[in-house]
Formats: sequence, structure tokens, C-alpha cells
Amino acid sequence: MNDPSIPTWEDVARTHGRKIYNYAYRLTGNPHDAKDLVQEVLLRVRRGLDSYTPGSFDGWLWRITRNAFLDDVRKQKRRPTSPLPDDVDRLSGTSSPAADDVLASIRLGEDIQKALLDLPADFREAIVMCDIVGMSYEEIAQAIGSPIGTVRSRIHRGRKLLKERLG
Amino acid sequence: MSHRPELLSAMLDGELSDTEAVWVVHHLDGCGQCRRELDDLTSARAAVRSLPMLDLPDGIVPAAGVTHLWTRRAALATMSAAAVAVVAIGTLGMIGLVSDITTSVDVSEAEAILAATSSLGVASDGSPAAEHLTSGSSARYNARQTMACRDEDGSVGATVDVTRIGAVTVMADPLAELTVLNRGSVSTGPAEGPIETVRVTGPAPTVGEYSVTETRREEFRGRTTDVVTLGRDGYSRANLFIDAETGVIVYRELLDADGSATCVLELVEFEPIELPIQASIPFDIRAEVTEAVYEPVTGDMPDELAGIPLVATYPIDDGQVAVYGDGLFTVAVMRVGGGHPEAAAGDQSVSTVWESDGVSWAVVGSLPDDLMQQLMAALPKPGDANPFIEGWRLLFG
Repeated sequence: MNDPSIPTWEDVARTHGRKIYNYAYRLTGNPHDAKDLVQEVLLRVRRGLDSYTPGSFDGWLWRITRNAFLDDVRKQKRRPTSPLPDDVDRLSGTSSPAADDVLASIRLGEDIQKALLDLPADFREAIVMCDIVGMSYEEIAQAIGSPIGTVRSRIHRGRKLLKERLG
Repeated sequence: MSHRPELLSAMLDGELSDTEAVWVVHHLDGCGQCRRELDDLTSARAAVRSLPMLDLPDGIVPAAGVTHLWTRRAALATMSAAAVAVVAIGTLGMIGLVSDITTSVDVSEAEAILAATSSLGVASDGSPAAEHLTSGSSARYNARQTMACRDEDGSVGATVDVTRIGAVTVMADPLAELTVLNRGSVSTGPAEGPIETVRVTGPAPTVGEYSVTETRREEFRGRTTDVVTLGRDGYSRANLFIDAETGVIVYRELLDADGSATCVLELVEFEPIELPIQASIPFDIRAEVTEAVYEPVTGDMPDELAGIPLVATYPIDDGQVAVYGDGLFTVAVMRVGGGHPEAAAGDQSVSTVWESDGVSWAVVGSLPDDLMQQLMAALPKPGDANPFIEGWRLLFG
């Protein structure tokens, strides 16, 4: 159990929690679902970590994450909700240049998030893993259980659709 | 000049081989269309990457206290054991035949076979697999197969082992995805997560998130096949081509969200298995004897055992397999008509086998001790039907 190649649970929570949160948030557009997912994943990791056999830790973690996410989607059949923060209207009432910049970046972010949510789930997942989480194609292939060629093709077609939607 | 647009995205991500990179750079030099596409892809990629990385909200750490010890390896072993046990029980104890599923064809060999033939692949003696499929003997239906997993670009990425014994076919691919085909049902899923069972026939066409969106009969490479399309979330996800006469899966396509096939599995090696038991008792006669002597087991299993929810059930010849799993913990509970608890006893992964009131029970897979005790406590015990033992239990616990 003191194998240095096996991270402690606290390490996992600290280094991967934020990535898992962003992954879930970009897939669902919903901060509450994202938070729930991180908790569920950390719980599953905690159960499994003590007797985890050294190997590809990231692959193991992302398979757990993805399974937890899919379980959640199946259970809840949740519909994505708008990621727009509640206070945007209030922000738009101000006129300082800094606030306008903030507003513009939120609006832009909202458009991108909305376009992401419009993508077929398989494409969205591959793009979020690649561009938000920063995983390599090989890591994505391991996590989703598909060949690298599939990952390549999903990311490519997802980006094309995204470009069409963003104009 | 041919375009290979999917390489452009991979180039942006630094995911091209040297050869591909040279090809793309050369191609872009003379292709305005691909240069424009590269611009589009670059801006789409940049847009997603511009999204801010959000901070983890406070209060997200779960309460302390490890609930159970469990290993991924054990979870995988349990799922495999469950699949193996389905076969074991379904065929009355011919366990050793499937416990050592091995890859008999390597990827380059599979590529060569696929390049050389457009038929159903070859048997281990070099003859076309189709010849074996047309044999009238039921023993011929028991076979090891190897299927080659071809990617969209035509390259063979891996080979997949398929074992078929009696009515049950088990496919275990290199990524630990399991598919169990058992008469009218198809079960599939990752070894770590819940598996989905789909009833192909019968009054209730679907279980879980998958549904059968289409079935049709068509000629496929000289064989009559039943093509079953499985769908999920409104998309078609897979086409299974099942040989109509023998039930052998001869071809499988995995579909992407837009309906294109991302990966196909093709039969490249087919090795009929001669059952050792057949020398004394022909397979079909043994099945008749079984049906005549034992009542099939019916009735529902509990929705939950030891806090682990029921995720799938498989009907088998004279009973049922119930799989309990919560994503990390998986265990299979089997009930079959009494008289052959030895059906599973030869497999080390089978934790416990017993008989109670004319029903044989087996629990497959290991669990942490506390969970296993809870699970066993909820199931019928040997001798439950004996009034003396019942009275003894009532009085003395």
C-alpha cells in the first residue's frame, strides 16, 4: 500500500478533482450535476484505491469517471440546462469597459458551451476529454473503450459541427 | 488527390505519426479546400480551449471512512467469471472449455486473412469457416472464434475472442467489454459498470437503455443471418449479424452517433470444439434429460442484495442468472433446477455452491467478507425445506 506509484486519495482529490469537475460541467452544462459527479467519482476511487494495482492510473480514473457519469445520465435522464450565471443581467446594466469585457467573455463562453451541448454525446465527450481535460488520443481511447481511429474521427467531426454552429 | 480531413484535427493535437505528418504538410501545400478546413478546425478547437477552467466548489470531499476494499482486477475477474459461469450453468458443467479464453490469431495474421478473403474467415484447419457452420451436428456449434476488430481506416486494431457453447456465446474484447448472447437475449457492457441486457425476442423487447430498433433477415457472405440493430439514446449503436442456423455471431458493427460504422468485428478464425462429455452422453439427449427431471426455476430475485442493486438478469436453460453491481462491485447469483450444483464447482471463481429445496444455487465472484455475509444471509439455505431444520433454526437461530 505504500507503493510510491500509487497516489493517496487526497492526491487524487486535489489533482484530479478539478479536472473531473470541469469535464462534467462541460458535458452537462450544470454545476450541480458536475459537483455530484465529482463526489461520486471520489467515493468510487476511495473504495478502490487501497488495493489498486499499479498500472495506468489515469486510464483507471477516467474509466471510473466516465462510468459514473453514464450511470448518472441513465438514472436521471437529465436535460442540460443553461450554464449562464444568474448575475449576467445585472452585469449588463453596468457600463464600465471592464464589465463589458467580462460580459462579452461570458456571452462568448455561453455560446461555445451551448454549441458543445448541441453536439451528439459521443462527439462532445471526445472533445471535452481532449480540449478541456487535456487527454491524449490514446488516453481517451482507453477511457471510452474505443480504438484510437474512432477518437480521431469523433474529435474531427465534432469540431466540424461545432464550427458550423458557432459560425 | 484524395483528402484525409480527419488527419487535420489530429495534426492540431500533435497526434499524427511522422509519415502522416509529412503527407498532410505536402497535401496542404496544394489543397486550398483542406487549408480552409484546417482554419475552421483551428478556430473550433481554440473556442473550446478558451473556456475557463472552473475551480472545484467547496465542500466536495466525501465523508471519511473506507467502506470496502476492492480491486479493479477483482472486479474484472468477477465480471469475466460471471460470463463464464453463465456458460457453465447453461451447458451443464462444461466449464474448463471457456475458462481459458485465449487469442489465437495475432493482429498481423488477422490482417492477412482479411485481405485474402471476403468470406466468413477460416477454420483452424484452413477450410472456410462457413463449411463448419453448415454442419448438422449440434456439437459443431460449440466453437472458439477469433474476430478481427477493424477500425474506420481499415486497419486491424485488435482481435477478439468469442466462445460459443450450447446456446451461449461470450465475447470478451481487449478492453474488457463483454457481450453475452444467450438465446433471445444480448447482454453487453463494460466490465466495471452495469451491463445492459436486451431481450431480442419475447413480449418485452427491451431492458435497460438499449433497445432493438430493427431486426431483419438478410444474406451475408453466403449465409442467412439475422441482423439485430441495437439503439440507445435515440441513436443506433450496433448491428449484430447472427448466423440464422447456428446462432454464431459472424459480424458486428459498432456505430457512431451519425450512423457510420466506427469499428467492425469480422470472423477470421473458427475452431469447432469437440466436447469431451459427448463420448458418453450426446449433448442434445442430455438436455432432454435435464428438462424432464428438473423444473425450471422461475420468480424474481430481490432488487438488491447486501446493498448492491440488481443490474441484469439472464434467462438460462432451466434457471436464471442475476447480476448485482454498483459500478465497482459485481457478483452473479445463479439459480438452476436442482441436481447439478457441480455445474459450477470446477471454477475457482465460484465462491459458493449449494442446493436448497430442489434448486441449485451458485454465487460467482468474491466480495469483501462483510458484504458476502450479508448477501448469503439473504439467500435460501441448504435444508430450508426440511421441517426439522426449519424448526431448529427457528428455535436456535
